[in-house]
Amino acid sequence: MSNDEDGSTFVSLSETMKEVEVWENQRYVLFKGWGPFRLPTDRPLWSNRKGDRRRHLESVLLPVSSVWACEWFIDLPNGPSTVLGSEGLPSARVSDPHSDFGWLYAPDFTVPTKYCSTKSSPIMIVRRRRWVRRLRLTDVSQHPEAVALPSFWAQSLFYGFAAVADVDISEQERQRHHESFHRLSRFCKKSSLQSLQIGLVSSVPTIVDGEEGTSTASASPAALITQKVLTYVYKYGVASCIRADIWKLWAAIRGFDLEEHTNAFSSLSSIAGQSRDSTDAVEIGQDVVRTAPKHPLFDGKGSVGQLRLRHVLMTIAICPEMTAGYHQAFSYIAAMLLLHTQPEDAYCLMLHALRNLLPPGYHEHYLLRYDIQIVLELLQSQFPHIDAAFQANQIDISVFASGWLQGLFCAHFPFSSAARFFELMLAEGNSSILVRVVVAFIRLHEKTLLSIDSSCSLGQFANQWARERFDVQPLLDIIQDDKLTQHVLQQRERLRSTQCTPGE
Amino acid sequence: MASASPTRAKDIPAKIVVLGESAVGKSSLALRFVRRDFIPNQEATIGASFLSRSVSLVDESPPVTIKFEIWDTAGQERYRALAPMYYRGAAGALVVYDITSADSLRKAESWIGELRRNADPQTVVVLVGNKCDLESMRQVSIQQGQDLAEKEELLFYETSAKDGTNVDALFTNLGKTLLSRGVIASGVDRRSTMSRNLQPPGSRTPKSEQQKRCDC
Repeated sequence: MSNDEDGSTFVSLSETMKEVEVWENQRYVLFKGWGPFRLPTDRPLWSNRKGDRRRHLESVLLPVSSVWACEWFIDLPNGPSTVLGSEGLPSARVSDPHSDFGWLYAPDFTVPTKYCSTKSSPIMIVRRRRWVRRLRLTDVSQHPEAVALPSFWAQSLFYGFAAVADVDISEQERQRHHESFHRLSRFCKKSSLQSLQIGLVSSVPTIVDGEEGTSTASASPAALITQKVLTYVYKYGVASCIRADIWKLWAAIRGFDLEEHTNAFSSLSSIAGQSRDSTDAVEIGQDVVRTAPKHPLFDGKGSVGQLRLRHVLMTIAICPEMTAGYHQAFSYIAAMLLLHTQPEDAYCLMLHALRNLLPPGYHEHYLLRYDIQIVLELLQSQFPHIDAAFQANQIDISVFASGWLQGLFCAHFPFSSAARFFELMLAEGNSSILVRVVVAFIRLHEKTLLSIDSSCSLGQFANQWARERFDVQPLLDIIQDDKLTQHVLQQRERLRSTQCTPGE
Repeated sequence: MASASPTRAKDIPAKIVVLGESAVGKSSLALRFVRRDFIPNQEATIGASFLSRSVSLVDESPPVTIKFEIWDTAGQERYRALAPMYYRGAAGALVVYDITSADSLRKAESWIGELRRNADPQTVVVLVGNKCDLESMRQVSIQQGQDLAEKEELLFYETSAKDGTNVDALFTNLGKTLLSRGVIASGVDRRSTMSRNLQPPGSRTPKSEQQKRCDC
């Protein structure tokens, strides 16, 4: 039986078969009848068995090393009672959401499931039923086609470099994921992306308080990313199951021509295949095998993940818009993107971030040092005591900040956390988040930083902290309220115009 | 895991920077020394990573404990302009090459040249030929390494981060050399002297100015 308390929603049926459940909850409303209605104190319309966690059919993710064995179907309430056929699948299934199958009635949602009645009566004004889906445990190497689904890997996002997040954090993350899906999914209808591409922006639905609003005529596409949307992204992130679409949508909203660059990707791919001996190709070859080697997607020479990573990095390196060629930090950024998207989308998103969102010369001319300088100046004005202590001990924040910024956090934080920073960059349409993360880190650790006595200790502390940071919500809460976006953008502009052109 | 171990009063801190071409095994060498561990396909270092380990030299009189603060740098050529930030104030520098790559030895030579020109002249440089467990793929002979080390007056070791060969010996000997040459000494607080200078890397700040805050 499912046990949500310990965070696990997947129940073993046999050695190779597991089952996951989601409960649909409805209320009877006079003159309207049964339907997706709820009182504020009711459980969510879609929930776990206990009713205290939001769950949706679409946002349930496959765990690593498994494939879906069937679609969602309605099952009888008390567990896997359906007779299993030879394939381990139920012989007859009901999966029509409009059917009346499987409902359990009660006067109130506080009545435990086992006391609910299968028969409706006038005092029974709430009902619930159980949707289940089965999955088969599988060997990834024998089912490479399973990798075609980005969501297949989403659960394994919790892999950092060597570690996996603990149960509590995974469960928190899972809740955020379902919550985010609930709030943001409407924003991600396939039609949004298509209508945007053909310029019919005004017909895109917008979000009003998490409910589907009527389409408001938006003057500019950027207006689609409302303050409300940003709030959700800070609070919940974008659910893994819709990340690929939302991220592409945001890139398009900020003027990135997806179609043109997707085409460019395929033509660059053929050139990339030929230049195997260039310096970039050799370096990329070296790095591909050692980028997140413990992650199931990238594990093993010649694995799907490694092939895709090489492909994306080679096209980025030879892309005419990227004059700097290959930079080692890119392999981590591309790896993070490949956990969510297909190679052509990973290429597009990476190019968009590097060319449009980062200031020019960020990697190429090490102009990320302006960002470090902005952090230093903020340190001076907002944390004068830390600044004084750092000066006295000759401690330089660039010992960690430089690396963090080069990899857009993907090389130092678990990919699941780096993705949160990355999507904020896409949503906000600027890269001020880079500076703001470092500043928030300082704010979060004010006391600890005061006791640090050398650059080496600072680097050690910061990198170790980042490496294990599966939960970046406290950091994001600080960043959400920091009001530093404009400051960062203005200071970048100031530094760029006043400082001499840098040498390599 | 690798939290900064507090420096005991008697520990003598020594900043050691690890330089060399990408993928020669800099991080693996540092990890072998600090955690006595080896991980195949060690991830590429972005920026720098920091490790420390204290080693007691019991045959010194009086016995001393050196706290090696290891600054493990990124190897990619592109980052090279950043290196001065890392080797500034280093007591020791390990210049690492891969014995299975003749090219990596050439890169090591140019690192030695850069240290000669820009680093503190006191910095003790060790030439390290890593991956000596891969004898069958060897491209650089021990003699070639020794010749270069002799010519440049460097300490020289061939090591294997994978099986541990010579790794502890390298650091112990480096520690002794630091003491005998007076680069580090008991009772003297020789902190890393990294400046907060944000000028383009390469334009080295004179030592006297390192204390000052750069307001550019």
